Amino acid sequence: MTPAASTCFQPATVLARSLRERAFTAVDLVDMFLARIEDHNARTKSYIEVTGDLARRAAAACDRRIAEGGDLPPLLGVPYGVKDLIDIEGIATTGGSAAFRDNIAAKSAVVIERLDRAGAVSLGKTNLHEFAYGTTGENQTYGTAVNAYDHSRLACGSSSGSASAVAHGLAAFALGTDTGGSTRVPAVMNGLVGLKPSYGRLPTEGVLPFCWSLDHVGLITRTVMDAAAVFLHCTERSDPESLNAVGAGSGEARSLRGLRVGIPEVYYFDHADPEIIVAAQDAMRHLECAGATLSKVVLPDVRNARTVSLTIQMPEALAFHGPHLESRGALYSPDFRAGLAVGQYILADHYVRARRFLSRYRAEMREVFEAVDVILTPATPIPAPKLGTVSVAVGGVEEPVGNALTRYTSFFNMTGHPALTLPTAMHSLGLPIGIQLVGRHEEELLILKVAAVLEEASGGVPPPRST
Amino acid sequence: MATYRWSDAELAELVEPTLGIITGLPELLARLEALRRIDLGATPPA
Repeated sequence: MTPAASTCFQPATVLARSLRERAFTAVDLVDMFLARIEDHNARTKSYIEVTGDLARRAAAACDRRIAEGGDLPPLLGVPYGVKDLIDIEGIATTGGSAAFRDNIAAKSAVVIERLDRAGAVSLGKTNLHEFAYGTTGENQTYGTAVNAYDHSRLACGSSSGSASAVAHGLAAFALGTDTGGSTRVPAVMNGLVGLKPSYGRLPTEGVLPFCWSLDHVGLITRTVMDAAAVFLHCTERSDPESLNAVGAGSGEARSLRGLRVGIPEVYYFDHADPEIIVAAQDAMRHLECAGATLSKVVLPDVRNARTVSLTIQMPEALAFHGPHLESRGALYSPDFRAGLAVGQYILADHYVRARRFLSRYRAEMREVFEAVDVILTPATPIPAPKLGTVSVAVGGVEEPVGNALTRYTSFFNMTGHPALTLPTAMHSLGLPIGIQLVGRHEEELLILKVAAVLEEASGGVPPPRST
Repeated sequence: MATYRWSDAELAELVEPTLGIITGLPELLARLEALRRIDLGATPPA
């Protein structure tokens, strides 16, 4: 790997430090990433639109700020990708769809404005499953982003391009969205950290909605510390104490003594790849070694959760897209149109009942979190599927691939709890697998701290072979 | 009383999904009927 390529695989916080230490300029760094994008994007399909000129201008402004000295934000000059659901002023937000090719944003999303103030540099708009609808990341208009560890497999979605970009060294971190697992699943499938903060924690103003009730803005990063730094910036809380609480120190400072970790008794360890179960069990042992106490918990009955989630998703998606179907429906992809059709046939009674289930799930989870501080589950029941997979069979049970990929993640979109996925092991197929940590509302820093301990204890996963 | 027009192919996908993204409509409606029978007491919608 060339030095420039190696630089593009550094964590965002390391790049930020290197910039402050003037190891290279922000313009140099942007050029390194743009060169890699030029070389690899046609194959990886990570980006829909690369905004090289804008990135260089922003980087030059960062270099002027560095030259002036003084207090510099932790992410100044760090290049990142933006899921093409999130508005950047003057640039099309296509939603990954031909139907929205001419949808030029009048104003940047709030989360983009916050990252602009922090000095991070957007490289462009990343690929996705059309309008964030599915978890395979398949896209008939812009191509399907591929998994960094095996190009014959899905990056998974819907934030497929964001995960693919970071994993291929085409961005230092990326923004995604997450309605059922769309940040967490592609992140872990590509050897990355995926954080879905608490519902509403990161503003969704300026983000094309898929399902208002379940949409979250999410983060895809190379390390847990990167996730913490980007999260704090996006919430405009970049105080050093908060960041240090996540990952600094060793010994007692890294101890999890007193932490109560809940392991679900049923469902989350059923019908899953055996190697994924072993990886989760190893993670549990690491937490115990760090001083945490593990106990079994009974989570709300999630057998109906997927049905409840769909019953809320599809009518809300139809409510937003319906007016556009009249004028440009033929430009929507067939799978999304089929989903919207489902939305039409869900009755108000169904929708209201589903929202009553949300209330029940949230009340039951409040009780669970009286007994534990964090919950650990596998991230997914399967490793990344092959391109074109329609259904998967695990433990003799066949299900649509979209259902399988979100089996462990979508419940926490309904309850709004912060959740993070972390790759902790390699499957014998040469693919990353990992765990999910779920915390109480607004306790992102706690799950980040636990994830930091696990990241160190597990040794993480090796990077993909050189691209 | 359809608000939007769907092609025969789209309706076929609803009935017997092949694209693997979500459950077909007949199965979804059956599951919704099962949900309807679960007693939620006076739980209000979220």
